[in-house]
Amino acid sequence: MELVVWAGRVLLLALLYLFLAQVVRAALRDLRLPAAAPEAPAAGAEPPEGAPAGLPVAPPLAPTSPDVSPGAALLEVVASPGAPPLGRRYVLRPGLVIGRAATSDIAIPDPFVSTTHARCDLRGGRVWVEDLGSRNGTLVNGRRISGPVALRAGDRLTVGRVTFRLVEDGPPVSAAAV
Amino acid sequence: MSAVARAQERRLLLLAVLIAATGLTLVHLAGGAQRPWTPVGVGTLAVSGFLVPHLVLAVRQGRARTAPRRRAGEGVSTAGADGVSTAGADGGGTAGPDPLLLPLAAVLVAVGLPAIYRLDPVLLLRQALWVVCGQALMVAVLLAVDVRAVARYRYLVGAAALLLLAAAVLFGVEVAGTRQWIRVGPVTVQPSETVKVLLVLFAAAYLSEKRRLAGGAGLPARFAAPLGAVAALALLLLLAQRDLGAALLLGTVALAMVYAATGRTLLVLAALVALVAATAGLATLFPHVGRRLVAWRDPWSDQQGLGYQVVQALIALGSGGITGTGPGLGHPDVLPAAATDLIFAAIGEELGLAGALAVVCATLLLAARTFRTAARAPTALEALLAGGLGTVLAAQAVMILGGILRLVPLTGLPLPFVSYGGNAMIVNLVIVGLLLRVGAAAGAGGDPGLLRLRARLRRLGIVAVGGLVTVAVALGWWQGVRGPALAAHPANPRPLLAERAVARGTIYDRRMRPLAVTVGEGEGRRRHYPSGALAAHPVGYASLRFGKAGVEAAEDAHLRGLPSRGLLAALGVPLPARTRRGGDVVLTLDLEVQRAAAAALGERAGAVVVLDPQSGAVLAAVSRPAFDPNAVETDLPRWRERADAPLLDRVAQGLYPPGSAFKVVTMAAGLAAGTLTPATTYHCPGSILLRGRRVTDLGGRGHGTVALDDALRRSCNIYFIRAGLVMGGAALRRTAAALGVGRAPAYDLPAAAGHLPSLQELAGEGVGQAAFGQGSLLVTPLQMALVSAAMGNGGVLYRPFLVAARRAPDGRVVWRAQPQGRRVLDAQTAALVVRAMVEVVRRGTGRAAALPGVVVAGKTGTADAPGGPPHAWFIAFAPAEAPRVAVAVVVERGGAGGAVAAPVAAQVVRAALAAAR
Repeated sequence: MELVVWAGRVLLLALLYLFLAQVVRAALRDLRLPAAAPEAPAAGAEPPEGAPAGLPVAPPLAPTSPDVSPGAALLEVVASPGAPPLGRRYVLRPGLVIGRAATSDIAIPDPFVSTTHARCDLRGGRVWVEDLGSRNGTLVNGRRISGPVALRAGDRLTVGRVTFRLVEDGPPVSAAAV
Repeated sequence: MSAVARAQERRLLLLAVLIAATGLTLVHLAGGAQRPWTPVGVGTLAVSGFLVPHLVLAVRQGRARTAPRRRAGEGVSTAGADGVSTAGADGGGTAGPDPLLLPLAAVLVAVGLPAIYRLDPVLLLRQALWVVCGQALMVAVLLAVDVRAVARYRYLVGAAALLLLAAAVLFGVEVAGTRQWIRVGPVTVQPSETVKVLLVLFAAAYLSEKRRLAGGAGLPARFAAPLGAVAALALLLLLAQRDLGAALLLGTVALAMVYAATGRTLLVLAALVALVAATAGLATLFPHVGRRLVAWRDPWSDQQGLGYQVVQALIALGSGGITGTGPGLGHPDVLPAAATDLIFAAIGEELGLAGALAVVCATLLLAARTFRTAARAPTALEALLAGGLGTVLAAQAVMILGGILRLVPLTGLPLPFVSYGGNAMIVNLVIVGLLLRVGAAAGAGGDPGLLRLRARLRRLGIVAVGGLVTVAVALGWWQGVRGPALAAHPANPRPLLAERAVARGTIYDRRMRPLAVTVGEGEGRRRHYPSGALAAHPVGYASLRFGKAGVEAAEDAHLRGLPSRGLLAALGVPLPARTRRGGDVVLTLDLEVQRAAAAALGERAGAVVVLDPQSGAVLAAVSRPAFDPNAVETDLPRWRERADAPLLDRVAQGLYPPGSAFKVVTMAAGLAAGTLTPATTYHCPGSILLRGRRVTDLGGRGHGTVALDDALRRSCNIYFIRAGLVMGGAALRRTAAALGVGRAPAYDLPAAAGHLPSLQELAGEGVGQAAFGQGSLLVTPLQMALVSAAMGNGGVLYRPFLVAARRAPDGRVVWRAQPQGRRVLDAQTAALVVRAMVEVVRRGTGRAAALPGVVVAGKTGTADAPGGPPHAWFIAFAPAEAPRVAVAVVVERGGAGGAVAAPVAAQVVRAALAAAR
């Protein structure tokens, strides 16, 4: 009988630590950072907000358009107060301007976005983003940028309350204006 | 949001239920199986209740998948706007309530309930009720509470909080120096718990609103001022209640939230300094605050007064060690406030460092996940709310655990989800509900200020986790490193309680005559020794103050009902508390023989030991001077001071030169080595020089030319010196060692080894000294009795033993001693020695040992010892043809062996043979 009690004590502690091990494993999985950490000096060392790694790219449902080049760099909307819609993708063209003005390449009707807010360029095979003197600033991976910053796949670009994610080699999608 | 995560949540919750059931069952078994199983069932059900909110979450999640909802201007729901599924392969997912919060709360409850049950089943039933009430409220929160809606009424919420506190001050009942409680009908309400949540709600709503007005950037300091006023007011009210712990907690939470909202590190640091200064100032204003600080700095200096709680908590942790005493088997009930403030110490005692560390880990993970929820909240309001609530939980845990572990002064705060207390439990479960509510809307953010807010919340989370890691390290230090020292601390009542809990078993002699019994009940229980000083040394004594000796010490485990042999003992398994009576021990001692031996020795110092040569059983062991074990508590210190050392067991530990009694060993050695035969003769001139000292025989006249048997019969020193010189040191040592000289015999009581001279010591003429029992030779009476027994037994030596059998309290014999013998001398040698020893008694120096009707064999010894008369020795066995008893007698400073020791031996042998019939 005493042996049963003793075995029960061992069992209790074993169960407790089994529980904790599973919790720790799940928690660590959540802490894993996304694949690409930015190398550009202006971009901060702060990890992107808690998005888990390996998030599969969701197939967007926006209509396709014929004038598109495969293998282009794209900006995908991953956070938005409403417009532009989540999941919308924009093809990056050289000199692409993001702003509140309707004439912007990516127009965002958000009061927190300046008229001309930021510009994206393609230089030396890389995507560069630059703040155009906006009031609220442009953030890359959560850090406010002061000069031109190079983006890598998976980086997050925040303008106002909208956050884009840089996607490379994605399936072709139209670049919508307005 | 994944079904995977909810499935994992369910698995963990079921595991928590299993943990609760196991813990409760163990406590139940330890208490004795007569009690009803109700509390075990109730506790398990209460923990299973966590599945209800889990189901609510799962159902809601399933519904959200099929009907995506989007609210403009706010975060995104679990299903994306374009039907984008964000189901992650990971456990957490990007959105949805944290799947680890509920299980972590559940497992803390699962560990707390058995600890409470162990202290009082009634408390367990109540706690289970509070858990269920809290779960019900949690479900209500999940279903009905919209955080943003509540935030609209923030000023109402803040006012309600202040009103509740004021009510406690005005209408509160004074309990233990504080006014925390309001009696409402049959229950007592503790407003400070609810107030914590209300104030955090108010602060989160207020701060987020002000942020929004300021354009989403960091908040200027002036906006924090009204909040500071509210906080200050609340603090003052709490202090008026004298609820120091809650006041400190609130201050910490307020600071954390202000930091998160404004990011003004300097402001926060300044406020922190002000807080510390205020506490110091309070220490002078309010005496009880000062007392806590003193108790923190040095609790050991006033263990009965100020430091009592901390000291007892640490001792409890130390008594638990690494694996704990086992549920229900420790003594957490001696802890003050065991179910509330010090529940952690109670858990640490019974589940050990392993269990206590698990609690700290679970709390740490809970805090971490709470801050993670905060750092992923879609709006500033929810982020601040989650951060504030997380700070409440984490700070509370750090303060109470840190207080127990002397990292901070001890304050009366409950350990979340573990401590007994309905108000705290219900409020904490509501907190979890609110956190799950926040999680239900979490997604990626778009407000740039929000990102900085999140970063600050993450930093707060790291501080919280760091605090709990420090707690874990301190726990490892106190319980792991300092544990044994704490358990041995004099302020630890546990050894006393353990002794009192069990009625010590009885020690009997071989005819079941009691030698040591427990008499009396309860406090008046004590140990009584019916034979007094007669068997004082073998039986020993058992004193809580002075320790134990003799069989009382050797068989202590069995006498106290603990397993002393076998697998259970090896594993360190204590018997459950049901054991009320220890086991009994039966000795080989025969009280009649013991009495006769003591009478024969009389008042003289010395020892008598009687063995059965054919088994090794010790029939009598008398050591004089002795003591009366009934007077141990009062007289032991005095006995320790006496020069004649009454506490020394001379039988097994008295060291004397053997003198001529050793010649039987020399004879055997020479015979075995072949250097001696019965026909070997040497001439004894009466006096020789050995190593510069004169050795004489027969007063200088000498024995003339003698052969072996005659030399032994007349105990001729010079013959044996010559024989020794011829055989050499190695040969003498070999036989002596085989007979046990120079080695401690394996005996039930501590036995001395004596001294067998080394080869260097025996070089040259040294062997001559040893050959007649002088020089550096030292033996104990027990060893000489064994030599005698081996000779009489034809060269087979049996291991001596005193404990014959162990019985269970019901009388069953659970163990019996098995005699162990081995051959140490060949039979012919032994036979020759026996023949000579018979002559010693018949016609030689041992005539005084002769008895009518039985042939006694023996050898005298007169051992020179500097500083007084020689010791008188006599070893014997009888009947010589088939010995049933072997005896060794030494009379300290008694003089001639034949004149003094031999008569004693005769009386003892006669009594022993009579008793053996």
